[in-house]
Amino acid sequence: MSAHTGFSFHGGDTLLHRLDVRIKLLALAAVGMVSLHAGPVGIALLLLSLWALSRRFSLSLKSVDRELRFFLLLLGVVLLSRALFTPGRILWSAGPLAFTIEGIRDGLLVCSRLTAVVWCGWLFVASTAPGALRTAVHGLFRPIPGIPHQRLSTMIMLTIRLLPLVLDEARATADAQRARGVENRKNPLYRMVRLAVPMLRRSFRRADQLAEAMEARGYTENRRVAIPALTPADAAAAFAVAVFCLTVMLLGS
Amino acid sequence: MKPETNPTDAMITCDRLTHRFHDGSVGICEVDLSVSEGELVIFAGANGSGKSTLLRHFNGLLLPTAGEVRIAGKPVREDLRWVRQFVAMVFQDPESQIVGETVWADAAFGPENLGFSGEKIRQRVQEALDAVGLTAKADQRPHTLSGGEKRRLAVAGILTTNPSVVMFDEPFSGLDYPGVCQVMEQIRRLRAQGRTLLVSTHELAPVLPLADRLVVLDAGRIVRNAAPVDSLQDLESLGVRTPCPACFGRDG
Ligand SMILES: Nc1ncnc2c1ncn2[C@@H]1O[C@H](COP(=O)(O)OP(=O)(O)O)[C@@H](O)[C@H]1O
Ligand SMILES: [Mg+2]
Repeated sequence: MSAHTGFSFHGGDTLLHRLDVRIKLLALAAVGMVSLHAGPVGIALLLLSLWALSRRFSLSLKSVDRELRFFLLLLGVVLLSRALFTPGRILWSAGPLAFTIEGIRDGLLVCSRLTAVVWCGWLFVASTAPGALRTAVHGLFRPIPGIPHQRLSTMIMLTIRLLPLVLDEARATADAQRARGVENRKNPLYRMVRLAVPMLRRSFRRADQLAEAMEARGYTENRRVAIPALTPADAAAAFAVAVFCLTVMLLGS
Repeated sequence: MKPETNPTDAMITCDRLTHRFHDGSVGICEVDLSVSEGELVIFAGANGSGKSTLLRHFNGLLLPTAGEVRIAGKPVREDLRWVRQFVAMVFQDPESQIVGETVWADAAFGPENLGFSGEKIRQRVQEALDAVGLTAKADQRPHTLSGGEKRRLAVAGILTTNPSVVMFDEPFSGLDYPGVCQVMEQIRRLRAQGRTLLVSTHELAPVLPLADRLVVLDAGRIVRNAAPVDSLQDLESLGVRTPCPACFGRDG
């Protein structure tokens, strides 16, 4: 379940937890874009800042272990292919394989950029409660005409709410079918249909019940979602992020 | 026990209420009923006897195909929004009632629909979570709660809009003993606050000592409607287990 993996919300009271989610969402977009074009100095600065922000998370690397391993593997592949296939001065060669200095430098830069983007994403997810994300989307899209922000935020809310249920049901259905020997059937299509049909039936039933409950609890499209006002700290953070992004860009690419 | 009040100031009145589903099957048939303010009424009956169908008429989830339902004197179909604020419901499957992605967000759903201010929503939710003892789990995902806690969350969601009537549809189904105790604690508290309570169940024992009245349904019709002492005979033939005498009459 996603609740037990590293790449999910971790309660806490750090600077990042307290920041308004709208600011965080915009900052994530800005920093993500800047970091993809940042030069070596800029990216070093960015990674340092990320490290400083992360220190407050009392989270051991162990809990990110599995995702981290996959990510490190990806970085390794990127670094290796850059080092091998970028032309330049040869640092070390063995037969047809040649590592170039430019290649290694380039590979390290790309890896740092990827790391920075993933790190930003992780910090965002880890410091943002799912409910706050819904409110933020509501708040960001409300001023834009033509976007049904009410429906959008309700949809986000229900998705976050129902995802674990659907996963659990899928698991229960699959278990029940395994107990009855479905694995003896070799045809994967047969097994998929056998799993999908009861799943769909249950999902529709659940959707019906949910709609009824929402009606009983007085659901309207004009619901008042409490959107927190931006604090001076939020404004300061937005300013800091903007200055930071500019600095990283000016440090060259 | 409350004295029988004049039907004109009753909390809930059904007048020859009948509901026929689209497929032609009859859910409930010619139900006459009056519930006064502050009463706790149990609706008992076998599966399919029409308990849920009847309750769904009291908050306008179903509308009568014949007859009429009035809440505090007003016909239900005249103002559904008002009725749903006035009459709240805890559903049989609490999993399906919870719409919020966290405990807090779920409790806030009702007041958000009523358009309360942010501060008022916050205050109502805080009070409600305190009342049911879920404050410590405010940020948790509802999915991770126990069965008893889910029903407590459903009650919290209801408290935030301060309804006068609270209906529980099969509140004990699927609960272990601690879960049943948790639900009973909530029912006792709501009763002490003077709210009108309707409880549908085929498990009489836990709630019978508190009840003012026992209504028994069979095939969509009311076959018993009296004080619990007078309604208890021959319940087994109607698909309801008669509770042991020791459970009954302790604090009722
Ligand atoms: N949506 C529906 N469509 C058709 N028949 C229904 C529907 N809901 C309930 N019924 C029927 O109405 C009767 C009463 O159901 P219900 O009120 O759910 O009983 P209870 O809650 O006492 O178990 C049952 O015979 C049931 O099959
Ligand atoms: Mg029922």
